Amino acid sequence: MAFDIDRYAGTSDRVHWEDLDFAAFDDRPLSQPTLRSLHYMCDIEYHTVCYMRDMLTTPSHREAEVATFMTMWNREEYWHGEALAAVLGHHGIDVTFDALKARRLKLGWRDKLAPVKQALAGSVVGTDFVAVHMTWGALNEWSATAAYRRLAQLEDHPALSPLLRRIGQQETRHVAFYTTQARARLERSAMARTLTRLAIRKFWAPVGSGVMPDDEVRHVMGHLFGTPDGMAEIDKIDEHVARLPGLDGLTPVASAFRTLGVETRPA
Amino acid sequence: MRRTEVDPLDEARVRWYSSPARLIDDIREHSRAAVGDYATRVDLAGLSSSPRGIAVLAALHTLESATLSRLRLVLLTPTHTDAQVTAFLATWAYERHWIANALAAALDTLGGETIEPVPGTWWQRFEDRLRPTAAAVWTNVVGEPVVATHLVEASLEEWLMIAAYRRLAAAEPGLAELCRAIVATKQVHQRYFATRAARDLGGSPQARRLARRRLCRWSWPQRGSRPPMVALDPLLDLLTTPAGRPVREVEQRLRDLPGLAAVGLVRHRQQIETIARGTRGRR
Repeated sequence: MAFDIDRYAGTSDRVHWEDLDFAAFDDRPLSQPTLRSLHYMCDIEYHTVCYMRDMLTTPSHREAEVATFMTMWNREEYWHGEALAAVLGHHGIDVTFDALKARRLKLGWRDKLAPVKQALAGSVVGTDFVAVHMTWGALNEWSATAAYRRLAQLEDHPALSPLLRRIGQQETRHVAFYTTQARARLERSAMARTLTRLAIRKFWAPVGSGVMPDDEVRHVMGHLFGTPDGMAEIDKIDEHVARLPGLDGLTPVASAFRTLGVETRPA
Repeated sequence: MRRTEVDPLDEARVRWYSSPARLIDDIREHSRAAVGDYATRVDLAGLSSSPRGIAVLAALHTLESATLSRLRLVLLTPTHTDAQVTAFLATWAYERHWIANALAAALDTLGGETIEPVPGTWWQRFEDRLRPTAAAVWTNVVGEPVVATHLVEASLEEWLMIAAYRRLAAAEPGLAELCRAIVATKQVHQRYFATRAARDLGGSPQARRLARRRLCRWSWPQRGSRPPMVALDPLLDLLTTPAGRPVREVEQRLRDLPGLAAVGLVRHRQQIETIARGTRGRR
């Protein structure tokens, strides 16, 4: 089914939370492990612009539909960061622009060279490289949607859970865009299928890897998905991936969890 | 909101980004009230214009549509690490999208057409591909001072575009309502870029030196969109007559920024055209 970009742009909005009663956090403050996971998710939402930068190295940004999506997506994700920062702020944790900048600077030359490598790869491969980005984006958005759904279920909190569901609903629209784009590009090019399969199998890692320390990635993935129910969610994401043209048999999320050493605890 | 009512955000808009101390608060307030579809603000169906005005609208649409190409060149540099700037750019890109959308709708109403970019020569296409990579390399060697240069350049562009919209509104009363609504948004963008640029330039001699050096080679419109240059002529004429005054006024505002008092972008008409055309001679 085609993604209606005009409808998406016309209804794109920042996530709202003013109507949620944050006083509920005073009666039922979030636990330290949950705050740690939320802080990670908040940072990553703010860092969306860095993922956007990588997408912009491909020729896709000249396509009006892709350009419109990236503009709306970047703003929505920024507001996800703001919403989560508001929750953290209620617990005495300040997420400042200076701290975000410090995290980006800490990445050093690896971060500086990343777009150069992406641009060179894009120049060599050509438009088929866009399929890799779209599939990568779909996988990231599936993971994000699952993460918000899981945390909402785990906490079952009168203020946090509705907020996370609202964010998750916006993420599902991002999933729809990326999967539509990825499917179309994979269907029409054998080279795109080969490259994408290789890139996802060899290089994909959970959202936030490379930006956040491995200990933080392991904590968040274990906290959200480290139970039989959580692992069932992971299997569902891998099933979505395997249904994309040319990606059958791939289990990137389960493989990444094994590499990361995420342990499963009893439910 | 009914179109005849005073926009309740106007008062807030005038205040945003006036003070370096309030930049972060203003980014949040601005983003919360970001301007979306102009169809709710301007009677797009009631627009009227001469063919000359329609040609200027088409040129403006081309420039406003090149937002992601501009973002690309900025985000590949150390500017992407500045979380305050990137937070602002999220709203800036969103509002520019809707400005371009309004201009496209206006062109549609008036029977005009949007300008298709020209493919360019093989060398231009090669340069388009290479330029972001080259920019990423040299700016990462220079480091943080490059942020101020980007802010000055963005401010200059907003000043020029605001001047163009104002002159278009004066020349075409049937477009005045649309131009005024767009200028209200762009003034906010311009003020952020200028206020933040002034702060950065004021605190870093290296940033001032780099900005002065880069402005000597600055051209407008910046590459990213590649419209046929002849399509930009109506916009250029608007900005360079009479006797280059509109562009000279922009230059005067640029000189108010710290360390840029001696920068001369414009000395005579020929130079104005060279600056405004940027890629002249490569049509």
